[in-house]
Amino acid sequence: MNKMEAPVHAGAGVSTDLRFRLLLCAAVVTIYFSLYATLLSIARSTPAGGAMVSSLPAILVAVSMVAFVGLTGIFVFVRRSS
Amino acid sequence: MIGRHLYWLALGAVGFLVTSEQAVAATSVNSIARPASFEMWAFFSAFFVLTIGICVWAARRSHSTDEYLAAGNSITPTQNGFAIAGDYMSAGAFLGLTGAMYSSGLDGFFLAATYLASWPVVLFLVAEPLRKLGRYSLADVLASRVDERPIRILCAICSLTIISFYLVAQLVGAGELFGLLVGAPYRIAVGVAGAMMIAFAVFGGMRGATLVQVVKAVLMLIGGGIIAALCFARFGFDLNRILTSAAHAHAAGDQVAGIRGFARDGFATTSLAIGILFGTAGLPHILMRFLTVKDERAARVSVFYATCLIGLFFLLLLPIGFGSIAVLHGDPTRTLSNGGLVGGANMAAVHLADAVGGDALMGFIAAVAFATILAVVCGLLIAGASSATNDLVAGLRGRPLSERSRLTTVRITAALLGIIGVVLAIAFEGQNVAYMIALATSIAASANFPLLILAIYWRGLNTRGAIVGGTFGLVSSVALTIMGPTVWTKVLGLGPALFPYDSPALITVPATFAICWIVSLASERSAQRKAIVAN
Repeated sequence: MNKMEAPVHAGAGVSTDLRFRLLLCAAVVTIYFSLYATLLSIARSTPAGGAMVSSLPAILVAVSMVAFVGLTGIFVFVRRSS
Repeated sequence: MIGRHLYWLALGAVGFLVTSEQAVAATSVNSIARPASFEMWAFFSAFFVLTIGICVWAARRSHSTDEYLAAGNSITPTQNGFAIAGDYMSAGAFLGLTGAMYSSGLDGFFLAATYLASWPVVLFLVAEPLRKLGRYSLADVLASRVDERPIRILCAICSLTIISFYLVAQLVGAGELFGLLVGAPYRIAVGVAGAMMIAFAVFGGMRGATLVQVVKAVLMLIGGGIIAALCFARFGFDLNRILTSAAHAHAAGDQVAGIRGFARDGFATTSLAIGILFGTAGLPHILMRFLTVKDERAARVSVFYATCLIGLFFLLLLPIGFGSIAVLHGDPTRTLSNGGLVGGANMAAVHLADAVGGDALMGFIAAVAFATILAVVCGLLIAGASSATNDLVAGLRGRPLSERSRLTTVRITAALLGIIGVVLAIAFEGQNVAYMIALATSIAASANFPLLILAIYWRGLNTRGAIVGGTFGLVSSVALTIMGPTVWTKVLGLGPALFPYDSPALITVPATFAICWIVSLASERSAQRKAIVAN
C-alpha cells in the first residue's frame, strides 16, 4: 500500500517538467556515449607507433565537459525563466 | 559524557592498531624517506590550525541533531555549491584522477569527464525532490512512499556499505599523502590521519565539514590553476608540446594521447560509465548536502555552482595529468626501481607541484589535498552516522531515539565508522583511489539510485518491490564487485577473478529496476486478488 503519490509523477500522464528532465538526461547520456564512440574510432584508426601525437581526443573530452556544464545551466536558467 | 569516553577509546584503538602494525609497515614499498621541507610544514601547519579553528567554532554550534547533521538548513546555495564541489574534488578527483592520467594518459581524463557527466543527472533527477522530502538521509524520501521500518533498515545497510568503500578510498589517499609529507610508513600515516579525521567529524559536524570544504575548494582551484599554468608555461603554452613530451616519456608512446584501457572492452567501459553516471545520484554523503539548504531552489542552484566548479577543476587536469607524465616519467629522483612513482601513482599531482613550483607549491598542494580528504572523510562519517542512527537504530527499535541520545549515538557511530575505515584502508594499500571510488559509485548506482528514482517518479512502487529490489541491488553489486579483479585478485590475492569486470553496474542497475517493477506489480495484483476474494 503506497503512503503517498510519487511527488513528481503524481497524476495521470508524464508532466512537461518530467519530460524536460528526461530529455536533458538523455542528452547527457547521448553526448557521453557519442564521445566514447568517437574516441574509440580515433584510437582504432591511429596506428601504434605513429609519428604524430593528436590533441583531438583530449580536446573532444574537454569540449564534452563544457557541454555537461552547459546542460546544467540550461536546466537551471531555462526553468527559472519559464 | 559516555560518548566522550567512547570517543577517546576509539582514538586509542586506532593508535594501538597502528603501533602494532608498525614493524610490518616499515618494509612497505610505498614508504617515503623524503624529509618534509620547511615550506611543507608551514602550509600544513597553517591548514591544520585553520581546520581546527573551524572545527572548534562549529562544535560550539552543534548542540542539536539538526545542527550537527544538516547545519540547521542554513547553508546558502553558493556555500553549498562550493562544499559539493569540495566533496567531489576529493582525493579521488585530484590525487586519483591525476594518478590515473599519469598511469594511463587520456583514459584518466575520460574518467574525469565521466564523473562530471554524473552531475547533470543528479540535478535533473534527484536534487529538488530529495530536498522536498528529505530531512537527514535518502531513507526519508523512501519512507514517505513505503513502509518506514524495513526501508530504513535497508537504506542504512546500503548507505553504510557505499560509505565504507568511499571512506577507504579517501583514507588510502590520506595515508599516502601524509606519508609523503612526514616520511611515515603507510600504516602509521593512515592511523594518524584517520584519528584526526574522526576527531573532526565527531566535534565539527556538518557545519564544520561544509566550511572546510568551501575554503578548501577555493584553495584547490587556485592551487590547480597554478600547477596547470606552470605546466603550460614549461611547454610554451602549447598543448601539443605537452602531449608530444608525454608520448615520448610514457611506455605507451603516442597511444597515451588516445583512449586505450577503455577501448579494449566495451562492456567494462559501459558498465563503469553507468555506475558513475547514475551512482553519484545514490551517494549518501552527496545527497545529504541537499538537506543543508533551505529549499528546492537553493538545492538546484547549488548543484549548478558545483558543476561549474567541478568542470573548471577537471579541465585543469588536462595539462596537469599529461604534464605529470611528461615531467615525472623517468625522473630517477621520483621513481622507484620498479618504475612506480615514489609514494604511489596517486601522488603524481604532489610530485608535479614540486617539479614545477618547488617546495612551496608542493607544500601548498599537499596541505590542500590533506584538508580536502579530511573534510570529505568528515562528511562521509557524518552521513554514515546519520544513516546508522536515524535509519538503522530507529528501524530496529521501531521508534526514533530521543534528541539527546540521538546526538550521542551519531557521534559514537561516526567514531566507530572511522576506525573500521582505517582498518580497511590498511588492507587496500596501494590501490588507485579514483578507481575505488568508481566501485563505490557502482554499488550506489545499483542499490540506492533505482529505489530513489522509482520512489520519486513511479507511483506503483510498493514496500515489497522496494525491499526485494533494493536487497538484490546491494547484494549483487557487492558480491560481483568483490569477485571482480580489483578486490578478488589484487586485494585478496585469491587468484583469477570469478567475475571478469570491476564494475557490475551494467548488469545490476537494470536488473534492480526490473525486480522493483516486477515485484511491485506482482504484489499489488496479489493484494487486489485477496481483496476481491475477501469481499
